[in-house]
Amino acid sequence: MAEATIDQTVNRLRNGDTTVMSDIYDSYASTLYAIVLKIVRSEMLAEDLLQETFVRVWTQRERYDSSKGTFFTWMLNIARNLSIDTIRSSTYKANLDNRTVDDIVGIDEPESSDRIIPETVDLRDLVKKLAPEQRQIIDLMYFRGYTQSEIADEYGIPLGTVKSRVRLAMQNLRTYFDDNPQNSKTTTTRTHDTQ
Amino acid sequence: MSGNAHDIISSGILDLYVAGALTAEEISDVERMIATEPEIASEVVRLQRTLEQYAQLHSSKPRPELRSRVLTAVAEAQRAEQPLTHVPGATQRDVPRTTQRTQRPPARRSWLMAASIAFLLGLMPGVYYFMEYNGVKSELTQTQVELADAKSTQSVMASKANYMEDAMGKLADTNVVRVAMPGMPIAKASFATVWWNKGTQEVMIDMHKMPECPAGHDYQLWAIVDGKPVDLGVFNPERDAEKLMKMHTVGKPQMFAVTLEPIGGSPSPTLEKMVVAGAIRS
Repeated sequence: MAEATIDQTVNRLRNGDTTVMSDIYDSYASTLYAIVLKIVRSEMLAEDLLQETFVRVWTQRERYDSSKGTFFTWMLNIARNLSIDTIRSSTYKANLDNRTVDDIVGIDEPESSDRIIPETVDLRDLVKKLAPEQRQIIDLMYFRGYTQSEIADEYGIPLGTVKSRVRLAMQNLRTYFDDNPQNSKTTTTRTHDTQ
Repeated sequence: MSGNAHDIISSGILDLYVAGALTAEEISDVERMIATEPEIASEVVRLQRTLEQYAQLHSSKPRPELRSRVLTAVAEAQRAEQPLTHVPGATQRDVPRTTQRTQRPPARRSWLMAASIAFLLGLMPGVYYFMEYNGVKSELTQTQVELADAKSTQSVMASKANYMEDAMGKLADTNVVRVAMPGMPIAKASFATVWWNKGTQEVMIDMHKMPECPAGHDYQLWAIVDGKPVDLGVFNPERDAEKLMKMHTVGKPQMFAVTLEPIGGSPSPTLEKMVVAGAIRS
């Protein structure tokens, strides 16, 4: 969405315009779905979580504070937190069953963070620019909710290295998007399905 | 740019902040800086945009059917909040409509039940707004008249009303945490809500959206405390008159779950029959 369109969308949402949700869905569902799927790795679960995400975008609309971040980031946080909660609650199920978490959610497979969902061709180009360990660290934090010390502990990486990798990854990402603005969808307006 | 802001930016803490890898304490530090230092605020927005662009490279089209499913769920949430806001178009009809789904009406007793439940449903999110809502207020008056009537003829109904009043009082407590329990893959249409009081440790379950149990079965509510299931009692929407029911108390639950068990419940949960579950959000 173009920035003006996003502002308009946010205003409609704030004003309780019930029709805004289908526009939000058309603009963001594919991205949010991809990320939820990346975290929970079950299409059925991802569909449920996407539904709950959109319900919360509506019911929690008054909590969106544009001074704290972009609208997309806010929605992504809702989707991400729901997904992470779900994975963590699987932990409880696993405990009940005396199985380890890994059996059920495979939370520890480092390669899973690098797994590319087939449709995301755009990513392949980026992967060439971003070292795998940088991408992994960003994915673990941003998509899977790891804290820096959790990563340091679980992957045996010194905390300082975690920090510098994140910083480097962010700088590389920024350079990449500066050089490849065509890969950014934030500035393109999409056509919406009409209901 | 101030030297301070520059140091903070190059320290990498903002990168960790936008990636969501800081502790709650560190997050509030950063948010304070965002509020006071414009350079930091704009750097954070730039970093968020970068991650946003990265996130948007991920795209996976959900099944087309999902769109109407999601939008229907959103529409339900929108309808559900109508009595709360002063939407001019919202009419009293909204309230009984909700109850009709949960009630199979034989005669007047069930009307009274419906009215009480409507009353209760409306009250859950906030007594204040509900009372403000005049249309429902008159419904409430009617309910009270009916209630008085019922009291003289049916002491059963009176105790039901007491139960509900008591339940309402419990829900209004600020210590009460609402835990939504969406349906698991084996029971997608199920949904239950637990209301847990942090102070008194009381637990109530709202079973309005739970389908009937298969013959010979009850639902059993469990709390997960330190990874261990704790039995909070059984319920059965067909059998229990109160759709909002008090269960056993529990101290420090991390999660609630409902399983299907043989009538009367089981000493430990049958995990394959877990129908709904939800974690407490801290």
